[in-house]
Amino acid sequence: MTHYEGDSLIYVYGLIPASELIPSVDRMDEHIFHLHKHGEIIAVFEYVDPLVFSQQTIEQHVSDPNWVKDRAVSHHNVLAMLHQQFTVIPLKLCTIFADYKSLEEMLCRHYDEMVALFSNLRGTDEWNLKIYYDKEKLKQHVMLNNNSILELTEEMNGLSPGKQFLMKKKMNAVIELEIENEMKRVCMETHEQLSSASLKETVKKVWGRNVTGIKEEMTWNSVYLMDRKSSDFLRLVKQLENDFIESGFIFKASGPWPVYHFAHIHSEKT
Amino acid sequence: MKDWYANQEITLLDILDGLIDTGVVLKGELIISIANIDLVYIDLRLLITAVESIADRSDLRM
Repeated sequence: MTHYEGDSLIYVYGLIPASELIPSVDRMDEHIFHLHKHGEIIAVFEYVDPLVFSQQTIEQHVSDPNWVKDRAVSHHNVLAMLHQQFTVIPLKLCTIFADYKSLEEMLCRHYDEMVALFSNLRGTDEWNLKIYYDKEKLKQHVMLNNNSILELTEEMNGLSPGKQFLMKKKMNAVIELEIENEMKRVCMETHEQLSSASLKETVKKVWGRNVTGIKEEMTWNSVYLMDRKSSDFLRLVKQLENDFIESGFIFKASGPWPVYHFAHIHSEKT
Repeated sequence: MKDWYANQEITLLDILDGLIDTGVVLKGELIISIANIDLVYIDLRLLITAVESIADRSDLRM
């Protein structure tokens, strides 16, 4: 499909099934992406400058936020575009081969697994859910609705001012504990409902405000592999958010994403 | 209720949260790999920058 450019490295974005590509081959060839076909698998790649993409220069670039931003956005945009049209196995950021032969060898080595993966991923999307909470709002909700706290409040009202002061410390500790419990309950209930509607799910790292830049604290981050035809992720999330928004929870869903978290090649044979 | 579903702004954080440590990792013939990127060390002003969505990009190279 394309000619190898001798001095360049090969940056592979992702793999798509040959059977899905046929109507678009001509159109894709007009652009700078190149396609390498190996049986049922087509690697979508770009030739890159070895001076910019050597191991050494990449290690230097990674400490440059602007370079990471540009690279990540480019990588994602290509995969997102492919995902709109094809079943895509996304490859990790900066997956680069020395030459055409090494790319071909990789495709040979993992051929069966990749073809099986196409079959498993066909018609699926990845969706992300991040849950944030407004602590003051959640605290008010817990104080007004939690039985343990309501009982303690009642108990406290009948005490002398001195004993009330001591009891207040205990009350604050109980409030913190019940806030934690409420967060866990809401996140688990949400996760269970979304998991039951999904094909696969993964719980991810929760990011602090030093990363999110959002006033509210993140308390949950997870991704779900959804069947495009039978599931409506956003409708489910809307329903769940309606149940919990009054108690201070903020649901942020995004998608459909390429299946970044659900494409795995297990049998690495070196 | 706010409508964050339609025309959602994707930030760099959304993209890196999806991309880092994900995707198929290949070994062997591969000559180059990228080290893990810790989001904490990336400038927050960049992370929260809205990134043009795929639908809005007119310079897609394909």
